[in-house]
Amino acid sequence: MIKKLLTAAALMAVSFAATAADDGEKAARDAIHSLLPMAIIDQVVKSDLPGFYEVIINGQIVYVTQDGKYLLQGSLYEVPTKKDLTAARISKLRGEALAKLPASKEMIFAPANPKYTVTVFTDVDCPYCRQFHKKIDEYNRAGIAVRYVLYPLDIHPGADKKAAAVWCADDRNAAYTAAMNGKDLGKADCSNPVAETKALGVALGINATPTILADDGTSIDNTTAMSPVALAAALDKKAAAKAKPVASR
Amino acid sequence: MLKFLTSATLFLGVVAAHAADNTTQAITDGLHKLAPNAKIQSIAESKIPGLYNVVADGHVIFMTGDGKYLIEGHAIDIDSRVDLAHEGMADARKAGLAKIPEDKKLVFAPPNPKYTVTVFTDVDCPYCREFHKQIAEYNKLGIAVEYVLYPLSIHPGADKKAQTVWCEKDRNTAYTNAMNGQTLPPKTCSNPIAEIGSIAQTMGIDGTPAILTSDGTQLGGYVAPAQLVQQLESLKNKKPATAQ
Repeated sequence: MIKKLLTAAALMAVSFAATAADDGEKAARDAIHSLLPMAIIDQVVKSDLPGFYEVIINGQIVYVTQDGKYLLQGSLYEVPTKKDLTAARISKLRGEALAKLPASKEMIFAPANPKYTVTVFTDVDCPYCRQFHKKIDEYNRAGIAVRYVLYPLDIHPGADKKAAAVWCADDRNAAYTAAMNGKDLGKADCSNPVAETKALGVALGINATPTILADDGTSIDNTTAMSPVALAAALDKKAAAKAKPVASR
Repeated sequence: MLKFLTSATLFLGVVAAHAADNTTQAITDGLHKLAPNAKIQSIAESKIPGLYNVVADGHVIFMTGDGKYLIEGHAIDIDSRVDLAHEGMADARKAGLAKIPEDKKLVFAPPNPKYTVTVFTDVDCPYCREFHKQIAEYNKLGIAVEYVLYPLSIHPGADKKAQTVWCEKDRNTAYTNAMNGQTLPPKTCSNPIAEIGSIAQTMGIDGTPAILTSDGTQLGGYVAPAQLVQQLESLKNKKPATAQ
């Protein structure tokens, strides 16, 4: 996992301006850099876990003691609420990033009056992404708008070129559908956001396609999301949970 | 003033290795809130200030003393790069090993062994076979190997094969034959396999081969003879420094 972090860090350079660091924050940063000299740290904030800082490195979270001596990587639960704070934090970061991503960098397949929107990180050469897209009409009919974000994986050589070719077609949506049905679009090049959306995916800790995210940044497991009916049900449930007042700390 | 308080707390931590009663209660309640059926094996202060090392169902988790926060994952000591989550299992492993006496094992030992390892093994596991092919080599290097039959549920039928090995008159030969791919006619008899399986679970052993020293340190995974003797050598040299 540490290795994974390192690779991800080397891939990508998103850095928030470091604000004036207190001692603990500096110790936390130093600790990370002693383990991972190349790591690019996105954020360091005090964690809910007493005595720890939460450090975000490319969409992944670790916790470091204020003296910089120990590092925890895993899931942090708040016991009384049974909440996975780590997962919640990642979702929040993802949700904020998705809200900022302009429609001009996506391909949107939406019904007339969508009830829900999901964002799908997709790769032309990924079999499950193709399977998902085959049912795009059904998703739309179920009231779900789909925002596709092009995220060609390194494990699929040439997928980045295909993504660019989709983007550079006159009718992107039609080109995407054709590509997902196995059509070779040939090469087309133009100014495109693929490198940027890919970097965004890396920064959000997304490491597989399709990754399907709800508006709040929570990821929906693929078994559910691959079925339009199950996805709509999951989104209904999410909306119902949100409508209910939740006891907060 | 504050500094004094902190160092006093630290000092206390060293003295009281085990958790105070009310802490034990808070941690137990907290864990059971998240995992009602978890069986807690031990609760002890960890090296990390404020966190307790909790072993439950063969896994280490960390919790705050008030039972409010729980961390499941790795805990790296940054200076030594040691994963405390692994280290935290050593006691549980040692306790588990103590529950498996020699008469529940298959022992392959040289005349004057320098080292003894316990190896959790499954007849249908390829690396266990690879390991056993070189048993003479391990023995020649002074390593006594005590096998514990631990058929994994991912290998259907492996439990029957383990039982057959155990029920043969000459268990060691039967084991060697089975590891060479020979099919032995099934036999049944009273055997320790199920008992070992439940002990292994409290030790967090979830794969084979698993090589353990007598103090519960896990060395692998499959480790070739030359590397294994090296690891045992270096552990032996390290011992005096870590003895308490």
